[in-house]
Amino acid sequence: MRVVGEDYRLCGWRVRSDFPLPDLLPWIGSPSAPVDLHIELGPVEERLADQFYEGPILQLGADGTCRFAMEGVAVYRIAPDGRSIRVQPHLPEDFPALRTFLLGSVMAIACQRRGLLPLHACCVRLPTPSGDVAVAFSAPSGVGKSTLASAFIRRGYSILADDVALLAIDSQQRTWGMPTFPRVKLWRDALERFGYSADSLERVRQGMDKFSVALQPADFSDAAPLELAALYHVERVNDAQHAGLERVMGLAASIRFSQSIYQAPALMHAALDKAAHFALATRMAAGIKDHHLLRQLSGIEHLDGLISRIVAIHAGDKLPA
Amino acid sequence: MSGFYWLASYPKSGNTWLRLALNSYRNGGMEADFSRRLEFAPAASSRRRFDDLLGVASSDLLPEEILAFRPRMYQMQAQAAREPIFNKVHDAWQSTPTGEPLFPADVTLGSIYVVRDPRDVVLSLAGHVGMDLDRTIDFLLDGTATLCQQRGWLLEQLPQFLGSWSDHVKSWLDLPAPWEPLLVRYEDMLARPVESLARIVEHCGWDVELGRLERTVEVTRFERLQAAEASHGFTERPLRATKFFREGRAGGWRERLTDVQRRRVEEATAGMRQRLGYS
Repeated sequence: MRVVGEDYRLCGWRVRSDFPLPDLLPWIGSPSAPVDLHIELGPVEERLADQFYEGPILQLGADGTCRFAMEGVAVYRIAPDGRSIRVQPHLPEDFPALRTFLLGSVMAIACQRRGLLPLHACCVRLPTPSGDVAVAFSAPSGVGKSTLASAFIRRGYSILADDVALLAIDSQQRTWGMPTFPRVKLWRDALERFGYSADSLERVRQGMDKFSVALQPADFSDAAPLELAALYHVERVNDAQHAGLERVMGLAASIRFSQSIYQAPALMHAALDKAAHFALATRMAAGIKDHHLLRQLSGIEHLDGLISRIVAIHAGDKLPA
Repeated sequence: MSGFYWLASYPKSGNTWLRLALNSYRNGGMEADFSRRLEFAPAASSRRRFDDLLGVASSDLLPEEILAFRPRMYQMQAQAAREPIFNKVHDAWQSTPTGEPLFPADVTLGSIYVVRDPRDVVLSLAGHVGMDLDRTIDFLLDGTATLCQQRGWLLEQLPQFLGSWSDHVKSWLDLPAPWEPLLVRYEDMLARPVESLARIVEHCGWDVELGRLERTVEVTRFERLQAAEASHGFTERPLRATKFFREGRAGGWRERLTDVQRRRVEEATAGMRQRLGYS
């Protein structure tokens, strides 16, 4: 059973869980604060009542309940208000696979239910003359978001997220990056390049060459949400003549933002009020000052140069030409 | 509701050329624009599309789980499509762990299988991936060969099982499905381009127009593609290849493979080569 003091924090929420979530940081807020998100163990029905949508993995009920099923791992049920997630494991509860999907696709849906948007991006804290800001780098899987996040960490910067950045919008229509949890997931090759040893690390799934690295406190920006000052859409190119940085504005920026939402089409399926989901995405895109398309030359050896350039852009508080 | 045309081949057998030609043809015989990514007939193994449509990160899935979900992805996409979808495929035709076809019959409109003399494939593949010829031959003859394995690092494409060259060809030509692919030989595309393209265009259900075919063949001649790559690069060139459009000719193996290398390939592919007329 849970004992007092075992709650966690994520995006500033107090998270209570029926099973350990070692990826998350412990709750340090008021002991009397209400629980914002409850992760409970329990049975999940085979089919949601009044099904609104049924896909191979996702089901959406007419009341907004969502069911996410990963055979052989667990079934998850996300409450319509995103305040509770029920987990019916097919594996022992301490298996990392359970948390992999919980803190990935399932959390993305829960966040969307609560007015946040998950962006498929790593998110870094960078200094500017007017204070620290969040800067996000979005890219599809395989382009190297976690590798880029790790390279920023190695250069002494902290991150807010390594794969899925959680964004919020305030009443002044400014978009913020929320602190997620202090982990990066790296494949063995990148792991070894950054000097980590795989031996002591947890695999994301059994039989998979992908590992979860717990970050040191200094490497994770946990203190507060930071205004998202810029979003870079990263595309990897193999030809130097295709590389470059280009500002994206207006409708193009909005479209690129929408396409960078984590598992965007699936999340749109999971949204009960699709117009509201779309409107939120449009407002969040508008709440980010700078959008760029970054065509980055392949190869880990080019990352240091990229980081120096990005840091300089923001330290000077000037827009790139 | 629509469906797919699968443009299938073993790697380095003319698939990109076919995609460029079909894209040109559907645009009236337009010249290829190498300053942009070729959007026509994207890979059926796109990791991004899988993640987006299914709502799960394929990078968190085991290879057999990915394979089992892939038919669902194609069905979802076909369900939402109004126009036929063209996809490039390097996977061997195969069944998923649950025993269903990877490329579901109910969303297949047609398929084209491009085949090339395996001795020339060796040369082209070696240049493409930056391997020496002996190791490339090992790969070509390896019954377990797989592209983009999730081992050590992640790539933008999902894992694609190929098997050996002979297995690959056989899997597509003798597939247990209610449709038969159109077999196109790379060498015929070179020697009789208009006629070859006409068959392909007809198979795709498009109108066959001679003028448009001739224009398409002209703008996608190998030298034209090489020149375009020289001035703009090509977005699909892998990091270790100096050029994507390297030689493109038939029979280069006669000069470039040693007798030992040639014999290794020939002996292992004899049955299938005979069937395809590669003596």
